[in-house]
Amino acid sequence: MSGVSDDLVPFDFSRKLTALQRSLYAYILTLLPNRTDAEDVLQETNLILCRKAGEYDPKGHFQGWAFQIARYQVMAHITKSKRSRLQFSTEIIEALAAEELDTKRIVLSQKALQLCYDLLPDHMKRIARLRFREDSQLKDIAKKVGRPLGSVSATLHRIRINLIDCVRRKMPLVEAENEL
Amino acid sequence: MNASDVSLKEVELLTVRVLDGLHEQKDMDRLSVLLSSCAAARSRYAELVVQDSLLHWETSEVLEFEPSESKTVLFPKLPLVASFAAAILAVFGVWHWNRSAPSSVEGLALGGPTTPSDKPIASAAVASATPESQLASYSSPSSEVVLEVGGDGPFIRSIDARGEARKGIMILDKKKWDGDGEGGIVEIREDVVAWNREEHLSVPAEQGILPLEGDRMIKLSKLGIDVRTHSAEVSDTVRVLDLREIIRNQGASTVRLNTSVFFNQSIGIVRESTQFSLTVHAIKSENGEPHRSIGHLETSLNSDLNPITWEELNSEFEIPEGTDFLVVALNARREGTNALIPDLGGFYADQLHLGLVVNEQEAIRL
Repeated sequence: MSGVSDDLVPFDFSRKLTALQRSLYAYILTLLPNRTDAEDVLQETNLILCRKAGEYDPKGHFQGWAFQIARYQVMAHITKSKRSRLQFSTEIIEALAAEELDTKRIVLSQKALQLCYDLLPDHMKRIARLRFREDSQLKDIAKKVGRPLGSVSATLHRIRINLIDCVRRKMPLVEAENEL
Repeated sequence: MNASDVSLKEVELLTVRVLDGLHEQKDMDRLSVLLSSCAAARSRYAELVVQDSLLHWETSEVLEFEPSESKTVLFPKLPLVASFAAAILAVFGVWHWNRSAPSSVEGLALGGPTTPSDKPIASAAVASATPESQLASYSSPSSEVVLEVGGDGPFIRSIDARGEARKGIMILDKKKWDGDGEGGIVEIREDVVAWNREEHLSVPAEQGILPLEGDRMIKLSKLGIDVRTHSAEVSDTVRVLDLREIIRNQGASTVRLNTSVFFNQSIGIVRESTQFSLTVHAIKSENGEPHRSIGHLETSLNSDLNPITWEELNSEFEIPEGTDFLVVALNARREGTNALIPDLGGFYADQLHLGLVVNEQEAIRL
């Protein structure tokens, strides 16, 4: 098969692929911590997965297969852009790739994150929205909220750490609700 | 605080620097040393990065702040609605395109991929010189401008696009040109003042799409999906033109807007044509009254699936008497069950040219 197939991918495959997007992006971002690059690699990975849909064994482990292809794509991306970007070495990427990414836990973390996000003060929510939803650069955020860059950077740091701590606290609750 | 705590704090600091793009080579080197030194550091790093990816995701979908005026939800940059869309698909058991009950415009939207020879496929112009019959009123608490617009297109359904239009009208109306244009640039071309958002929306080459000319092109915002109607669409206001000087003060008898723009889309999971359109709304303003649309035009085409080629869309709009402002928006729309499937593809426009022809004289290039 050359290029992108004109055939629609099977429904079950499409369902699995769409359901995996969140984890797949998280996995790629872990190996390649730059959003733009990670999104490019995610797209390339999705295209390859769609092209290879016919090769996928429905009895196989879809996530493992998809992650493996994503890792190859990360490596290929780094090889292509090695000279111009600040990236991890191959050894570090291999070590990070070996870290277990529990998709079920990611889904629960997402629920906990929602609860925690709601608890953020309004000024933090505004900065979080600009950074995470609108993808604004820090200097643009600083301009919009009328604060120095260092202050915005520090606030974003606090937002992340506060959320991580909060998510840890909320996880038992979310897990319990999930089991009901 | 022990040595382990210190190094984990350092991992946090460095990871956040990397995620915010504030890092240098020495930061990467140091982070690499820490990550290779212990599993706890890798775990902490992964925890932060995964959270960032979820935040990026969640704030696009669930943690939406704007009041919703319709059933439309923001289509995320990444496919956050994956499980939702899949569930919808499973429930309906649909595996083919939804081609039911097309209206004249829907029929065009649902048509198959076009060849260059059959585009533009539609010129669904609905222009009237009288106030439009069905107008919806929109305003925001932060804006003094109330905008009533008619019709039934992506621009009408887009809170963001209408919000930008309102903002542009307010900037031009109040002559608030001293700032940075608030997401746009104020330009003066002969007797026309324009609020131009093109630069604000422009991006360099990406996702395999090269600008048609130059090194920048317009990237439309993320698609919003409407589960109820099985559609996904977006609208971006690109220009607001102040015609008061020409029409009201100089008494121009005939004014026409000629438009030309090219569209393209990148390859996504769903290999499907997209209906691109350009809309123009003629807005009349009266002291103390809402700004009201007194005529509009929507022209559209269906894109091909080739990211190398750009499709051209041209239109002409006879501007109704009494028009004070023109709002020009670019839109993209998909229909059918596949519109619910998250797609990473981008939607682009380039070489948007507007020409204002006054009294059949030479056009003012805007």
